[in-house]
Amino acid sequence: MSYALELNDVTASYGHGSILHGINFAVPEGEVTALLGANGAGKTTTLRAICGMIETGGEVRLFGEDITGKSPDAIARMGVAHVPDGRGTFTGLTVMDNLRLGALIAKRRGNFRRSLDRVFDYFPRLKERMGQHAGTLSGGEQQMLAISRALVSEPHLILLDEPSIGLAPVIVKQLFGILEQIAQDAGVSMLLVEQNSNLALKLASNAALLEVGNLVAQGSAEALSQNQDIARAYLGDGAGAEAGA
Amino acid sequence: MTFFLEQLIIGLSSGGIYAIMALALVMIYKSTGHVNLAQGEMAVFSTFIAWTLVQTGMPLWPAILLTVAVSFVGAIVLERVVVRPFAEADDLVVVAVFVGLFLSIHSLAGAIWNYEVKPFPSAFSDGSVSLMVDLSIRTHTLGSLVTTGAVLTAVWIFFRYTQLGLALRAAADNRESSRLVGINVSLMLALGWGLAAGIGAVAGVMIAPVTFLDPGMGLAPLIFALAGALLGGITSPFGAALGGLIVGVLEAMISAYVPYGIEFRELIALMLILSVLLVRPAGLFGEIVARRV
Amino acid sequence: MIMESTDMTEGRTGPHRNLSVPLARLGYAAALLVLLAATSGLEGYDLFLASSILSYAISAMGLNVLMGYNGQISLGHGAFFAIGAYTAAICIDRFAVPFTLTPVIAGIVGMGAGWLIGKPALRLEGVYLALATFGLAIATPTVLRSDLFAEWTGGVQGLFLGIEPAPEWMGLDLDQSIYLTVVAYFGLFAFLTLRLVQGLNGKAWIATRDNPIAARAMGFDVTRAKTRAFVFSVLACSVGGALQAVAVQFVAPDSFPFFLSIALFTAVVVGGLCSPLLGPLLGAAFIVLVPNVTEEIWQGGSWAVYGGVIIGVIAIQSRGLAGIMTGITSWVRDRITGQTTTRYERK
Repeated sequence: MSYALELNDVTASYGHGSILHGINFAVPEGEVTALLGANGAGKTTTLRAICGMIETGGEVRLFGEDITGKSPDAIARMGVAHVPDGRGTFTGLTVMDNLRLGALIAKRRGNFRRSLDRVFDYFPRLKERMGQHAGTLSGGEQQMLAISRALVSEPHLILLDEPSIGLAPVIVKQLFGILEQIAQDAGVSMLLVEQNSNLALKLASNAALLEVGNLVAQGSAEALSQNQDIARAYLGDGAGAEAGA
Repeated sequence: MTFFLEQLIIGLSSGGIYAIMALALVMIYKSTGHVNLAQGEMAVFSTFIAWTLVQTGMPLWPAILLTVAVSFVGAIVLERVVVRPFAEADDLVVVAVFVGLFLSIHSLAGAIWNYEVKPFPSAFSDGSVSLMVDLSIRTHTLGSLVTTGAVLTAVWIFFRYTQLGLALRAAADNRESSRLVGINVSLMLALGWGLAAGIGAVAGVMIAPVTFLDPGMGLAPLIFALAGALLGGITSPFGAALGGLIVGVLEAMISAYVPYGIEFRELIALMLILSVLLVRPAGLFGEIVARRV
Repeated sequence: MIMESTDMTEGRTGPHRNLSVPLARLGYAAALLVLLAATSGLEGYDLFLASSILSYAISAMGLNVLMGYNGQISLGHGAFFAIGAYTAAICIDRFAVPFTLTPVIAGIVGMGAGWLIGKPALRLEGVYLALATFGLAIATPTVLRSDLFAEWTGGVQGLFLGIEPAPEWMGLDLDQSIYLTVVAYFGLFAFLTLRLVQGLNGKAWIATRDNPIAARAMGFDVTRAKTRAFVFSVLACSVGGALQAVAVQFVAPDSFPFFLSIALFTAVVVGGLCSPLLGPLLGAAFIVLVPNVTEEIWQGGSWAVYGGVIIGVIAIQSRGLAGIMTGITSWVRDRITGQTTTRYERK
């Protein structure tokens, strides 16, 4: 099996505080991998380490190529689209400009129209909001915009940081439906960070579990969601209750 | 009425120059949060370069273009070498750096070209154009108005429609996200300085034939540009340009109609800044920047 | 001369400031003695330079309270310096006020002007205040030069100050009388500054600077704290201006150019923010003495060298010359005593 992303003994720290203590896992090409864990486990830090946004040790490989220590913009240009927590929309720019920014690094420039049509297919609401400043959008719309911005860059790998956070359950349900569709349509590899593990495990084919900077379990999503110990210890009891939304 | 129209055109003409300078200030302010106090001195320095080129026998328009290019590159170097090391420093320290730059560039111009006031050739033919009966305007005034208008339009098109302009706006809006979409933010900051200096050079060569050229000539335009930028809103390029135009017209009207107006125009500009900021701290078109607690 | 006195004050701004109050008092007394001794030790031009440095230091002390402790940036305090100087000149020229009292009147007039300008200006934050005061600095010379007030200000010609030396029985010549007056006011302002900065006002200023919202939540009146810092800075600048005018015995628009405001700003930043006495003294010495030095390095471009030195100093140590000196003295002390003193860091 070939991997879109491999992490070998990756460590990361903010100043003197070490956050990741050497983690190993991989994202198979063309599949969705979920990265789970409680608050403060180091999920967001892992994504930031992959993107070169913080001091990182160990080795990060993108489609076999070592990208450790590269700058975030260089990594982005290699086809990694990061949808950060808090969505990272350009609030002072219009929705259209946000999308144009996503397409800055798209390999085939002529494709922008097509990509645009595709994301408007997924999120028709964005089309209506095209001329608006992104800062005036609702939380759900901003998340849609952030995901669309990632899509129009024609990425090989999408990193999604807690797309469900701060959104109403009905919006979350909608959003994950579309994410599933995207994963099927595009064949793009995805690394999904979520606290809502039930949602994530339904979407993902593989999963890894982080606990305070260490990887404690990984395997197929099915196996992980079946594993009662893990479910009780890390993913919360009453599995299924939230996912039912 | 004719007199009023004449003053209006003169005001718009100098207002266009303030608008360019204001825009240059906004470019740097938006991407770094700092007001480049040395912007006026940089423009004067550029104008001296153009003057030197003309002295060596180069025709004026090519000299202007070459000056813009040199200013562009020079400002990028300046940003990289002098300003960048202080990027994370306190506001006060950064202001001190700008003060140091201001003094250095000012004095460097004086040391190289001395403090003698020099005439600067107009890029347009001498004489005047008759617009109406009794209303004729100097060619330079009209030419300068057209030039600044063209520069402002070009800048607007650049930022609105080109990918590089978009990337520059993105870098000013959100640095982290800009990196995530593949923009080299550090390069954008330097380019912003280059652009600001480039259009500042145009402002310099347009105002020099009116005020004559000497190292101190940058101060008054700088304060009027500041007044314009603050009036329109220092976070809004459009607002700043419009503010510059308004200040130019006000300056002309005050000089023409208010007793002692010519003498006190700087003071009046200052009053204007203060009163606008009191009523609407963000300026006419600016946004109030949220402050971190 | 100045260097000796700053050595004396060093102990208190350094790491051991809180250790012994009596020792600190002893240091102040010694510093004052050195300043007084200079009266007979120096003469002519040197005495004038010393007067100059001390009057700029008074202004810088006030401005340091505003910028260092209260965190507000002003690029326009030269305007208040000029108001003080012109008030002193007009008092002497028109009303034959004894020169020793002119700083008092200048202070009152200056505070009035400061209140008029500060009331609206203080509603501006951060860079906006810096810009508004920058405008003030640029506008000041044009007002001084104007024919409108020429009857009082002497217009472009300026005014000469006819200053009478102290009564003969005191045995002081003119330069010495002026110098001693300056020293007296310097002592007064040093005392005032320390009292303010170390008292509740200082806490309110620092709290307001570091986090206005939290300061408000803690019950500090932020607006009043800012106003007080501004008024004190204006007071110090006008008194400094008056003393400077007395020392030069002449005022003219060209003595108060736009660069004066820049120089005062420089004195505070290069001297060292938040160093209440040593910083302003070093900064004042910097702005008075360094231009002479840079003039010799490169005559035409002396201000270019000067600007470069400003950037250089804060690149080495963002707390300016005082920060550098504190660093050196604690390094030396550590070498001597063989122990490491905890670095006393303020923001």
